[in-house]
Amino acid sequence: MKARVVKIAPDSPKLKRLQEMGLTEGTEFVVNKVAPFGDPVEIKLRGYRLCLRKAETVGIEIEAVE
Amino acid sequence: MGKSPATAKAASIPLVAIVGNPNAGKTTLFNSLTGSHQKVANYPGVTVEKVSGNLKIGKLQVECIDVPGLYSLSAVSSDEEVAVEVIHGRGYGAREPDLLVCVVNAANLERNLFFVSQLAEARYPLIVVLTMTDLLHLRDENIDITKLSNLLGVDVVEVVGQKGAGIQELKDAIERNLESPKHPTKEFGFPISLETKAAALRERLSRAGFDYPISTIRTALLERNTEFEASIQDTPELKNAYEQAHLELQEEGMPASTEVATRYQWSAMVAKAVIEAADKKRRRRTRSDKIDYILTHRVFGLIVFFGVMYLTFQSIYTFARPLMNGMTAGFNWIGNLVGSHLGGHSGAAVAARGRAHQRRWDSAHLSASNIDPILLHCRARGNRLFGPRCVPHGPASRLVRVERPRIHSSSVELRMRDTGNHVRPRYAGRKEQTCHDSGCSPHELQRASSRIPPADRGVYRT
Repeated sequence: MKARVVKIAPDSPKLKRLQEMGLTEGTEFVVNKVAPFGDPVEIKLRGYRLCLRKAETVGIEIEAVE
Repeated sequence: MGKSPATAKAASIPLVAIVGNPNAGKTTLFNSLTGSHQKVANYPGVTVEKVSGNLKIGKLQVECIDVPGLYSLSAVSSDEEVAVEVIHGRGYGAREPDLLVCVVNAANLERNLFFVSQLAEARYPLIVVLTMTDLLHLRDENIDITKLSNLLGVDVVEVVGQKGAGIQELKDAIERNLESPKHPTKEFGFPISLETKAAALRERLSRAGFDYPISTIRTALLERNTEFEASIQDTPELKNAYEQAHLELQEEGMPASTEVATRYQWSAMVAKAVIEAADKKRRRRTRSDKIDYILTHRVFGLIVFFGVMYLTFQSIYTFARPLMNGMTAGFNWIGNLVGSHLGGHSGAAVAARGRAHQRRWDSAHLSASNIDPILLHCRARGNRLFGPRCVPHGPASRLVRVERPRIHSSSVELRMRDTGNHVRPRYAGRKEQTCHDSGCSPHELQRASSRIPPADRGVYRT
């Protein structure tokens, strides 16, 4: 499953950190794995894998990529 | 200002700081450079404090400092702060590092180069050390080190951590760069309007005596930075210039994330230029990927988890039993050995005493599980330890009776001398059941029990 970051809400230090780790607007990523209860999720972006809790991603808008 | 001899001496030794992304191999590199044994592990966040060590390159003495990993120069946690302070020359005895060695994980180039781009603007002489190229080769990819060095404008040395390959080249590069530092590229492709405004503001700030790095000014222009604003609060014309530039950028519609996004565009461009992938379709899965696939699988992962928990449980309750029995036997053996050397106490006495302790412990457990004291008496008899003579008696309280059913000591002796007179009629026919189960002869038992202090006597249950 492939997706792209459309928009990231400004003014959040946690989201700033995610951007510094490469999750910037326009970045495409692949959902690698999903934990048994749907949270956390492992995504692959910029050649590395990042594990995220859903709560940490509040404020990120994404769209599916075919 | 007179410097103390110690600081003067320290200042003459160049300081090299090893920085880089978490889990890039900084501590491994530090250990191979300095011969230290700092803890390394294959996950981010192992190093949480700065550690220093000494390094000799020919005749040159260099002090080397290892810091926690950083994703960017804006620290969010306290261990990151440690590293940022060291880089800015505030953390380590207020000494500015004379050289930064930035460790770059070749298998994760884009994210690592983002940090390099921030360091490059921090104005320090810089060397890039490329690690984990072996992982890259596993993915059938290659990296063009000369090209990377040209694009970054600094020396790039490939080091394969544990094998120590490339360490000598790195030492040479450190020596070379300490003498004649190379200045890294500062062309990251920021929008021109942002660059001109930032440069103009920086010029004005430096004339007013403020020394801010260009990256700080850039971020402050894109999104309001309270710390930055507070520092220029007292000079209204600076504040006005800042606010005007900030507003203009907002009118242009430049998003606050421009600073980070531009750096990542640059690092993606560099990574694309230097990595030669052989054939994307033939990508092999590494061993770590295969293990991960099973351990983090939705179903198999849980099976493995419960399997491990089951084994843990078994190892505590079942597998440990022979071991515990062995220990008991060992202690008994030691008890016998020691006891036979202690005047007056025969081995049997010591052993019997040990058993008495054990059984008292057992009976305490029985009381904990609330077993009827009458039952316990029956058990004691049923086990034929002391026979009917030894029916426990004691205080009327139930609990105490269970916990410490006393044996009437003289009754044992009496029993030995006198056959049957003191036996209650109910048990009269069971003389032969006495004194068999303890593993001692009646004579031994009698001797042993007479030496056991009354407090230590308990129900003998096997």
